[in-house]
Amino acid sequence: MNLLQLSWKNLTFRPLAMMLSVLLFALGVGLISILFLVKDQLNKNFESNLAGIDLVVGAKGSPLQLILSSMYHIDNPTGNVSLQEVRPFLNPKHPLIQRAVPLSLGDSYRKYRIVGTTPAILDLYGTQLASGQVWQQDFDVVAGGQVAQELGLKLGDTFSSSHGLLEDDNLKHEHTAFHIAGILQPNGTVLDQLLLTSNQTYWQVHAPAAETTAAPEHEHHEGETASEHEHEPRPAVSLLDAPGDQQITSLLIQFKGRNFQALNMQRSINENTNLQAATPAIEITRLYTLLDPAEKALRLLAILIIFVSGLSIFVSLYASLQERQYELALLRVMGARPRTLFLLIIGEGLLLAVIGFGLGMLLSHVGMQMLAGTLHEAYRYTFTGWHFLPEEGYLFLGALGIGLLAAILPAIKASRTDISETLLKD
Amino acid sequence: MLATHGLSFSFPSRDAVKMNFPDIQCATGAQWLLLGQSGSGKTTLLHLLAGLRTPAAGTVQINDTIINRLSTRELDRFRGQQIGIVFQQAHFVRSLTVAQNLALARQLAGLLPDASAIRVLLERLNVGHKLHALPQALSVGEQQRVAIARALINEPTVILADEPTSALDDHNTEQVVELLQSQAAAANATLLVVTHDQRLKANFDQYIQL
Repeated sequence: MNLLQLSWKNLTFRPLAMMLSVLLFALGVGLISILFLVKDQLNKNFESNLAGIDLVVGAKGSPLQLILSSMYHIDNPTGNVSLQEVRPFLNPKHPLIQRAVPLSLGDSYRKYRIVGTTPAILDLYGTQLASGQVWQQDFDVVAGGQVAQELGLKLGDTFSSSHGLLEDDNLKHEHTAFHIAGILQPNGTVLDQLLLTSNQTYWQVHAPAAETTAAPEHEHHEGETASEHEHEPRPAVSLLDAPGDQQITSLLIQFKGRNFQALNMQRSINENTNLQAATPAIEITRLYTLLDPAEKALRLLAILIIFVSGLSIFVSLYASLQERQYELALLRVMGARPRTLFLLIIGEGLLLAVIGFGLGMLLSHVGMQMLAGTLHEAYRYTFTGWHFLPEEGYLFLGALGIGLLAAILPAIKASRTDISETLLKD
Repeated sequence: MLATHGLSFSFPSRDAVKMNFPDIQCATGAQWLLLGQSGSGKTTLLHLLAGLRTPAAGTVQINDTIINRLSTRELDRFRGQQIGIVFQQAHFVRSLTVAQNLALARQLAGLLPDASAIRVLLERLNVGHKLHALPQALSVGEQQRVAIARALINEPTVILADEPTSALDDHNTEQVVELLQSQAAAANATLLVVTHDQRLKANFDQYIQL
């Protein structure tokens, strides 16, 4: 039997005595670990969707809202802009713009957002079709890999959309026969969770749009005949030629190069037009800054819990020495060296820390997996609990350090057990 | 062989009190009784003999070794291998079984594990069936017998017993003393029993009165 086994036997002999310390420790470790996990996966989700987009142009409003709605497809759009206003950016001969992808937002199908756009969006996010083809006609839809899987959509399936971004039968666009023309390969970007179609499809769904899109109760009144809503598929007209009073929601812009003129474009748009331009990197950094104090507060709380649990390990170990001082003296009588007793108690501290760490990991990863379900329900983004981070390795080392620190004074006391005095107390 | 010469001791906390002990000479394999009233310093003397305390003056010699000249490390090892001690109350590592307690005694003394020796010894002491029991599940008599087994397992040359019978009734006392004597004789170990229990006088030929 080695020393560590003896430490283990001593701990498991009275499991209740140390349980509170271990649970506290696990709670602290779990909290820190889950903060790591959430932050890491949030970062990954944000970063994988940056997609080299330099500027987002849309209606005036909150720049963060514009970015969140157009790039991450959470939150509501800031409003619509007329094609006329953004047409210059769509010109392929624009000197500064490499690529401009127009987006029409606002409708959904079973909580998955329908995005009117051009096939250029596939290049922007670097994804490919798994089957079928891109939208050629209005009402053709290319489904993201995840949507197709979760809704069980297959090529040739048809569905009707809902107005708005929530599932609501009252807001259904009846007789809008969307038709699945293609399915994308999942690639970990936001496209996985979108249904893509043409901008023109949006115009048709919302025609005679102009006056009804703004109204929240966008319903189809009984007086209307079905034929008004049965849209015959027809080839899409280029946005460059489409009527200028049609609307889109926003534009994702990629610059040719990050030169001075390109960087000036944002300010110029914001100052000289009715449009708003926002830089994704800046807004995401701003979002992190908003989340930062909350994260710091939670981390502080976790560190406090770990500190208290370390203290609690210290107190329990110290108290246990009192209880088994005779046992320690006995070990000395049997030939154990002071160093052996020191290591025995250190071993107990380390074991407690390891158990606490293991329990904390279990807590955080199972918790994260459960949270993932909720987050997916709310945002359609994929989170997972079964992902481990290098930071957790450091957390393990930190846990061992705390176990060591908590055990060191009791261990010194144990190693200084005076055999004779202890035996005489009997 | 166990011998002392000019042994004295003073408690660090009460330096006015100095205890002087008579010289002891126990031949190898001899069995001695050390009688003394409470407070006569007999337990202190036993601790000095076992190297658990450092004397103010004088020496303790076990076989060819003067144990006061050993370093702490050497003394710990020497005690583990050469001295078996039985205390007034049997104490064990509570989280370990009887067999594991005995195995630990061998291990701490730096000896190789010997499961069969442990089993044979426990059977000889009539507690073979308690091999895998936890110490607190044993009766007081059984505990004292296991404590004797632990004192013997490393085949020490000196066995020291501190009031081994004070917690026992007449029947168990008789048994424990007989066991101590027969086992010490079997191993040809020097046996010194420290006690105030006059009952034991009948069992020993030689005694020292403190």
